[in-house]
Amino acid sequence: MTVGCPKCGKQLLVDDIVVKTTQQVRKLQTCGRIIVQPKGRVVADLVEAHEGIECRGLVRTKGYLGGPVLIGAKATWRGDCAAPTLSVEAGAKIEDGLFAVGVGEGIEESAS
Amino acid sequence: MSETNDQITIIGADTRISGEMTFGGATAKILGSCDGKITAKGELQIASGSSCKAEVNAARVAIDGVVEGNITASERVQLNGNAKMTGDLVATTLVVESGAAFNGHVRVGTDAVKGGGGGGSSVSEPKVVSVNQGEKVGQKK
Repeated sequence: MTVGCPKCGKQLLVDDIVVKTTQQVRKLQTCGRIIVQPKGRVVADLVEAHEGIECRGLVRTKGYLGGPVLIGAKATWRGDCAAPTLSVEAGAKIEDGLFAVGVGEGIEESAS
Repeated sequence: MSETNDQITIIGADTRISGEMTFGGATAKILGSCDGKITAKGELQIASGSSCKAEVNAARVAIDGVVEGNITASERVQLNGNAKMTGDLVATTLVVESGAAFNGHVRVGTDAVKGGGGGGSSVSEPKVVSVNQGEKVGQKK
């Protein structure tokens, strides 16, 4: 479902996005939550999810998250991440990204 | 400086140390402040209200205070709710509690520790320890 921004009129996706296969896109943006399932792969220049992301597969991106980030036990994260909270399950892999966690309003500046 | 078994080495709240510190297998707890380099074979705890500008190498690191510098942990790094950390982090397991602030490059996983990087060197026997829980913060743009 999309709604129009009352200020600029731009269409905004508000649903959660569930990624079950490979998603190779420039931008993946939603006002909801992104869930990357174990066989899902997100390869994108930019990921924005204002209710956070649950990564059980592979994510390779620069991510700006308004909600919590969960990186699952068998998940791989590659790239930058700015989020209010981060959970990393034992066994998860983070392959060299710049992380800004819980740094408030400076999140986007510090991660870019 | 420290001894093994159940003993804990404590650096007091009004203590300031500059230079290189090495702790043995026992837990080391820093309540004061320190600059330089810290090496610990066991657990290093940086308490709330303390601050460290140091390069840290340890098996396990638990942070409640403020840390500026790179951390390499062969087992686990835990950033508790009051923790503020700036610097690069290499660990087998990372736990970030809700409320912790962190800014820096991260490499997590057994491969990350074996390959070294981030702040340091000389880590051994990586071991997965636990799973963390982050609370939902419902923050919207």
